[in-house]
Amino acid sequence: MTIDEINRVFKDLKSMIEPEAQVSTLPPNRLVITASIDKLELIANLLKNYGFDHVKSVTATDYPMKNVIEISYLISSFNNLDLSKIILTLKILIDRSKSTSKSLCKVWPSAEFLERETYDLMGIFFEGHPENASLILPEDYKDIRPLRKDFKLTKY
Amino acid sequence: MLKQRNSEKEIELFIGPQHPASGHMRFIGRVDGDIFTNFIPDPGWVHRGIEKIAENRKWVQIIPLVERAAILDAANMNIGYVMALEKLLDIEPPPRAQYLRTLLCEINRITSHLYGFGIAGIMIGSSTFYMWPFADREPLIDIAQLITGARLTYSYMIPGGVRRDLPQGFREKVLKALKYIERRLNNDYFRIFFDNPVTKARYQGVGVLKRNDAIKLGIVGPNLRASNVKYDVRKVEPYAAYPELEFDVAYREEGDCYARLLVRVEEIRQSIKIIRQILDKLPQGPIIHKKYEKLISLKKLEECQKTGILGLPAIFTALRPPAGEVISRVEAARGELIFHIISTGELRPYRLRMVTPSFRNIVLFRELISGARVMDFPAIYGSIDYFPPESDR
Repeated sequence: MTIDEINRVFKDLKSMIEPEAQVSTLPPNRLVITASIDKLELIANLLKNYGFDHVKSVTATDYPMKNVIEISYLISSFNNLDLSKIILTLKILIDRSKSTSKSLCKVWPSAEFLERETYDLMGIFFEGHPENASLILPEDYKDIRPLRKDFKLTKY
Repeated sequence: MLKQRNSEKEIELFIGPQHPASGHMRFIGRVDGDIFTNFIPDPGWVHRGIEKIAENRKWVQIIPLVERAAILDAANMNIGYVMALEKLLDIEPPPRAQYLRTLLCEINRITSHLYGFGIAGIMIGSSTFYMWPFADREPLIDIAQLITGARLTYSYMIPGGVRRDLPQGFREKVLKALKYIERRLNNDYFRIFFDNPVTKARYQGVGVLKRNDAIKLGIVGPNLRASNVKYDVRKVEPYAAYPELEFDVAYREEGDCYARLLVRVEEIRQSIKIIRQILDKLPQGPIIHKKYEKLISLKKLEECQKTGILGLPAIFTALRPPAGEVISRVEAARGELIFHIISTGELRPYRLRMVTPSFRNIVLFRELISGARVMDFPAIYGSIDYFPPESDR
């Protein structure tokens, strides 16, 4: 895929999604969409209809100083081998003290285990997820979730 | 362990967590007669918290850490992380280093697939096909040892290049080993296992994954390609020396257990083809980026020319990549491996996300085994080539 084609996808997405969310590029082949949590499902559906058919990763990053957690969905395509050259990052910021977000399982079933792992290790509750239960940690785990920044590694 | 609730005719069947096949893993199934009505994978028994440990290690210390996720596929785990780090540092390794990296990755791909064959073989009761692939990994592991000095956990790739050059007489040894593997794969393996009527009866038409389901569930690697999706990161986003090498993406249309194994057979053939090309095309030149070569003392460089072993430049312990966010993807033996790293310009990464192929394939247990017979469980498990330590991280 040439740079022109990536720019074309970028323009398509920009006309489709803005002003609901911000679209930006990260050369050579990365696109970033920053959305708010209310518009998340709407944008996810638009992206799915455009051809992005699976989620590669759900990355949650804890920023205790700003009191936010950033969730990034890495999205790409298997069906359309041109689109699969792009990795699109769909970003949202959520309130750290509430730690709830909306699940995208209904849009992309491939997000199911990734979101469940994020629930388990970062302690984010995904509304609408079929199973917000522990996956990797023990079922009776009560401590601070390990990927939070205030978790102390030396305790274990 | 079996558990039957009083008034129900279904039985709860627990499998594991004591090493059912390739590692510690538990499954909770509900059985009606001999059909699984529900099947739930329960990973996490070998979770080591690699993502959390990485936040507390210096950048170079993470190289040996990430390869612990799957030690039989260490080179591919390594290259994913090192590529992400190089993107942050904005350096590109010299061509010879790229070829050496590719060489080790392909050797690892073959050994990893052979391991998977062994597990698949013993799971459907073929103890010969357990012993043979495991024994045949040995010549390739010896070659990896010649290149890196270690049998499994190499830590061979460093930012900007690789740690060692090839020893003398390497080419002949590799060609001999490749000839051996090729003969075993194309003759003996088919004679004893793949063409065996018992194998075909256990595998063909069992655990069928349709193309649309594979895409929807986000399956990766040979399991995806066995369902007729031609997605291979080495072609989609070529890295290391892959843009200059010729190979085909192995795929099948059936999507059953047998197809998944045959895709791996074809991938081994392609890897052999790639390794032969690397031996012919390997360019001369430095094995580490100029920026770091300057930092190594002349005495050490002379020593390196004699022994082929390069000491790490001292600056690596105080590596501080600029702030930023990078994503790298590579095709590991079991599928696509993602690294998503967030740096704040410190001595340690702020966040390191590692999504391994086995983790993305877990969902297959639920989708393929629910509705299957108990007898088909080992056949399907073996064909998925699932590796619990890689999944749990």
